[in-house]
Amino acid sequence: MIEVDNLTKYYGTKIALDKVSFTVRKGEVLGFLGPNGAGKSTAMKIITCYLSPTEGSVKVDGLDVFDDSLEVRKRIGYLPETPPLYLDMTVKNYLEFAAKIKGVDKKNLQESVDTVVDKCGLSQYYRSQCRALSKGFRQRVGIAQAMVHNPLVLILDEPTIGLDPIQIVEIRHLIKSFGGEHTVVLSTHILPEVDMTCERVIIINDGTVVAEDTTSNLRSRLPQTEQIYLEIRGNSSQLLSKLEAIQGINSVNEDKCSDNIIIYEIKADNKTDVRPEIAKTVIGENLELLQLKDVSLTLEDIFINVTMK
Amino acid sequence: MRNALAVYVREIKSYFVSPILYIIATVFMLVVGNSFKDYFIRFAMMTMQALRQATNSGGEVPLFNINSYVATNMFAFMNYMFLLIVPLLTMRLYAEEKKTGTMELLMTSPITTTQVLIGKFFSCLTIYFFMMSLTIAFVVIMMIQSNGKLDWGPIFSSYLGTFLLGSAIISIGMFFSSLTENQIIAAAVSLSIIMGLWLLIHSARYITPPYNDLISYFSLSDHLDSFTYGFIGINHIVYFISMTVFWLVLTGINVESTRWRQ
Ligand SMILES: Nc1ncnc2c1ncn2[C@@H]1O[C@H](COP(=O)(O)OP(=O)(O)OP(=O)(O)O)[C@@H](O)[C@H]1O
Ligand SMILES: [Mg+2]
Repeated sequence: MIEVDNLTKYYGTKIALDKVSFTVRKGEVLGFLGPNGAGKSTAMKIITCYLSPTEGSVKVDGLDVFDDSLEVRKRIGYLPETPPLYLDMTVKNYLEFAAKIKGVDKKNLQESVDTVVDKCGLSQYYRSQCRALSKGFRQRVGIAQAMVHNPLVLILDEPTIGLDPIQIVEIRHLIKSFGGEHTVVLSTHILPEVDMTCERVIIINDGTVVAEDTTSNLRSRLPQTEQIYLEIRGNSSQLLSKLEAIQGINSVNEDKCSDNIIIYEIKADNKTDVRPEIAKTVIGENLELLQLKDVSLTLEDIFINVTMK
Repeated sequence: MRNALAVYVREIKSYFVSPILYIIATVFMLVVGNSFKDYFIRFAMMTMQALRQATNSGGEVPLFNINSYVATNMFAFMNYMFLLIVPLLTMRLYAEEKKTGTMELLMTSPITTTQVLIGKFFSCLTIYFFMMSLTIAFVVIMMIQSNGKLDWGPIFSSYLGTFLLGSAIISIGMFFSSLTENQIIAAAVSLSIIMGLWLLIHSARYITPPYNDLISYFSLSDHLDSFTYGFIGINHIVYFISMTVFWLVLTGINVESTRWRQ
């Protein structure tokens, strides 16, 4: 649905995107991940025809963003970093205006507006001025505006920023529900969000793609070690050395927390499960076992791993 | 067409919800009204004096023309006021959208730069027309005072001249609004350019022929005079329309080029 080929963008002499290529399949929800200033927004602005690329090409639904700009724009719903609201308009008038300029015809106008108002939970503010809305509700109106013409492709730049936790969950569900029928690209810094909503992730850093895969594949790419978190109560001088002696454990880090509570961070290879052995050792030393858990690698680790290189 | 209309309607509504239009319109009416009052009283005293003299000396009562004593002055004053006011009307057209980010909505929607431009231009021209129409009140007063002897030709042509002037200076204001996201800068620069083009005629006399004719050709004021005297010259109409189109095209090019200039 979206084909980005060798995309390069210079702002003056500053390079924001350097030969970025990727494709997004129809119906896919793609997460766009990267630290501040990585070039996420820039890439999205080019896909939505707001900016022209310095080099390279972008095709949406087979149409070039440069040659068939208007046709591409009909197929795209876009939420910029700051929701583009006319503060002096009511939510109703604003969404009607957005629908009009996006080519929704007159007889479907009311229905389209009602649908997005419903989906984004805006009915309570339907007749309020945009100026009077809180940040989160402005964001919702921005999302509603992007979806009002039922576009094939949704480009959302940090869609859940400024929303409350409940709303975040709702919007994520909404975005997820868009997948399948629509193609969605969303950028975010919130890593669990990608885990929850996206099938595939593209991580960019300094204007280049550093990783591109499904979230589970990205996980398995990392060095195969396991982290175990152990918390005990009691006094033992020998536990540390006994733990280190266990087959499969690579390193142990001891951290005396408060009176009598000690925390161990254990790194083990993931061929054998060392947890039963650890539990036995702790009990054998006559200590109280408070917590023993497997801290598997999160997307954070992957993210830090690939962007720090 | 439908897109341009949507933009047009949105802009008109936006003018009417902001207090600035009401403030500007009020100030405009107060100032133009006050100058009208001055011209009008001077005219009334002059006619009265002449009448007294005529009755005393038994001579004939000279005819004073209300058109040339009041209407012409009023229109000149109104045009001058519009030079100051229009930058305040046009400053927000693009600058505000750039500042608040709504430009990003317009530029990523299936609507062309030209459609946006046309919607915006005509919305401002409508507001201008609306303010201009307020002065019909003064024309009615003149009509009553002159017992219907008001000459309608110059009145009509003067309004036409003011309207054409409006379309030219609105397009200038729009261009400078599209250059910046700061409305104050947009207004200040438009005002200087409009004033410059207005006063250009005065610099013409320091320039050797044949360039002085060229300079005065570009001056806004030079093309307005004949309208106030009741002449509708095609060349002057062509001047104002080409001026409008020129600045509008420039605005369109500028807006479209922001896509690759960033
Ligand atoms: N209009 C501009 N003019 C000059 N440089 C710009 C402009 N916009 C962005 N940049 C630069 O381009 C780079 C990429 O910016 P971009 O906004 O795409 O980052 P981002 O990944 O969206 O970051 P964030 O997570 O903070 O939103 C940054 O280094 C930024 O400074
Ligand atoms: Mg960004």
